[in-house]
Amino acid sequence: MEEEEYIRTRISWCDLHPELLSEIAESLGIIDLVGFRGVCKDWRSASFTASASIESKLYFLLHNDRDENTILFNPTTNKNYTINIPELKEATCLASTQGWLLISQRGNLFFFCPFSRVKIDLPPIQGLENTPPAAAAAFTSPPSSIDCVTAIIYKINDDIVQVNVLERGGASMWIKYEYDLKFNQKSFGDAKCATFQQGCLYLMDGFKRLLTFTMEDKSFEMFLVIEQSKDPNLETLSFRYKDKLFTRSNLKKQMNLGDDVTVTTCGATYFGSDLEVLIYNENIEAMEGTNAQHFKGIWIQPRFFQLPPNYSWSL
Amino acid sequence: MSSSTKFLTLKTCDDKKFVLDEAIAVRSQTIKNMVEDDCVSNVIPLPNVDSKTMTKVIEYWKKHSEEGISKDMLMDFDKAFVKVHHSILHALILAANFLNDKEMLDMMCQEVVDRIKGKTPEEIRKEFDIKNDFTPEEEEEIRKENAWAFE
Repeated sequence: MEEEEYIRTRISWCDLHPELLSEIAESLGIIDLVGFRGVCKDWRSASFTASASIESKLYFLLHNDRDENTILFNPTTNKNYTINIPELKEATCLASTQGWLLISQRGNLFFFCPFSRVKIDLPPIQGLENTPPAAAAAFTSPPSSIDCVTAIIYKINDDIVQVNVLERGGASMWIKYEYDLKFNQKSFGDAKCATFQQGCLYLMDGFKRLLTFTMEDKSFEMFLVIEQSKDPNLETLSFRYKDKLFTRSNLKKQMNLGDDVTVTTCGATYFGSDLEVLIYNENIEAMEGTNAQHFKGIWIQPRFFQLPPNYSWSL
Repeated sequence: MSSSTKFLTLKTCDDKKFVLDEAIAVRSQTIKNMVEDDCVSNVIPLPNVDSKTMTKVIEYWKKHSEEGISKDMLMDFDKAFVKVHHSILHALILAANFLNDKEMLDMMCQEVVDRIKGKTPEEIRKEFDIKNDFTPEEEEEIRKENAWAFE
């Protein structure tokens, strides 16, 4: 009886206060959020600020050079999804942090959110028409924030580590800084992952070596990372790092990938319970004697970012 | 002076009156502000709330003000309280919002979230009796955005 009377008075969930709808949208994970956005016009516009930020676990995104379909894997639920993302065809991800990817595709560089497919184009790096080899990258804050600083780092030869820096609101071009390993009598392997913390770029190689680059005075410094020392004169790293996460998670099997598949993953970072965690890039080989199919993989925190139309990096 | 119980009279938009212990009524921040600003004469008008909804709100307030009630009992009460037709849920959200009862509002909104979870847009529309008002072009854009999640 009571219910019938309610139904008679015309109610509409579409025009529930937008701020209440926004609050509801912000409590949804990535799949429920894209569902919410497909309900009606009012709900869609109320979800403008919702980004699925309650998703704390990492998903894994697998893509290749041949087609636009990518596979999204949720290791928590063991579920695979196929998503059409043209922006990842013939593309290489250089960094993945808090839902934003830094992508290099046929010489173009851009920030990208694969779920909303918003893109922020960056100027190209002079003299670098292709994806830099064994590169790592980091950015100080989301690329939508006005003080975002981005760095792409790679070794131009055995002796030189090059850091390319692009400051939003600063120069409109990448600025190069070089560290001469030979001159400094140091060695450094291929970059495994990078992060920015308090204006300092941290770059790790696979041999527990840490190269730092301070934005303020543009100076480099080299460290060796040792584990669990009680020496009070040593500094403690302000982040953790994980090597071989794909292999250790047994993802090849979990995702039903054959032995003939090779996977290259890019470096990624996310915030763990206390410290930032760096996930090293990884090369997963195919079984010997097989005709390898090559895939690329990205650890990603699923986020749905939206930007105003015609949004651009230059302010 | 021993504090004697003070009562407030609340009048809903359909002209029904509710007499309520002030200590309970001030769960509503809106009513609390009115009492504190001393702008309460004898009757507090609630132009945005109807009597059916107000009855439910008062049921919730009274239960949550009961002395010595256990956490488990309250949880069971809340669980049953939110299991209502979506139109009542809608009315309760608007009432909790107008009355500015954050605790109740959060609980009702969480119920909406729980009803959305795991559903396709079409199933959500059915659940909440919502009309699809997208143009065919928008539909196509939405399909591109969410097809992967619901195939």
